[in-house]
Amino acid sequence: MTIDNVERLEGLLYALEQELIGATDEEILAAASDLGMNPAMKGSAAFFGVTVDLRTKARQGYVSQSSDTPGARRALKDDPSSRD
Amino acid sequence: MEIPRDVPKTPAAQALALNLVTAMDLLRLKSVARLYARGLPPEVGWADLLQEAFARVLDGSRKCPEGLPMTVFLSGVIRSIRAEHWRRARKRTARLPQMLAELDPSGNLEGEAGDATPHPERSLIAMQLLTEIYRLFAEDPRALEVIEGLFEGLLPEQIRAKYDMSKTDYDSTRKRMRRALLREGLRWGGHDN
Repeated sequence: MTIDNVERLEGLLYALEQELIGATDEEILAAASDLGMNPAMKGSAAFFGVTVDLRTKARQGYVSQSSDTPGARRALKDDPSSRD
Repeated sequence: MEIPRDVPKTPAAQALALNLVTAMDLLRLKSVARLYARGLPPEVGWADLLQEAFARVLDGSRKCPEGLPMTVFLSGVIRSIRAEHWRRARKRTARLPQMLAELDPSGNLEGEAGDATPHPERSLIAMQLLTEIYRLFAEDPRALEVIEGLFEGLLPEQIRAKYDMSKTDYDSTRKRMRRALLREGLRWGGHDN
């Protein structure tokens, strides 16, 4: 890849950045919903690494306990005590 | 589930508490950080880019100009932190030819200072990144055309003309692209990419 192409790639990344910054709240919620996340939920996986330090949480075993990750949902489904 | 009290707030969480940004802004910026973290040295992850940007705003080393939306400013800070990491990585690798020259008695080494070609590692990473972007839109031929146009530095009207796209088609393609980019930015995953 030539210098020109590396610079073009930077231009492409900048254009994609602008798309992300210009996304509406509804578009963000829809994308999160595609992933099974609900950012309105306290402890949503969407905010791991953002408001929650992933590395600290991983050490504390918190990541696996988030309520809107696929793993957590599976665990809840498998846990008879969660069916009340 | 409550976050335990003994965990310090991240800079991004502090900015949220100070109403500098909204929760949705945090997710926008998370997606931006994830976009820009690709190809960086393994010790630097997207969360590092994001939190460092917030930390610089909170400690006053970067000040948002009046009238500029905070998300736009912070995404620029993320971009500049990424550029710093690239510069540092290039500096580290640029020392290699000099070190080799010192070891080589003949002094015959190609590609030393003044070489205008991009560093091979950076070119390779750039190609991988471009491939990843193409893969993200592989199922959407219209999106690939927009990506090609953006890569060539074309303006929206030029992209529409080149690929014979109506304005509606172009706008809906961009909407699908935003959704795919956001999904990629928000997806569950580790700290690194």
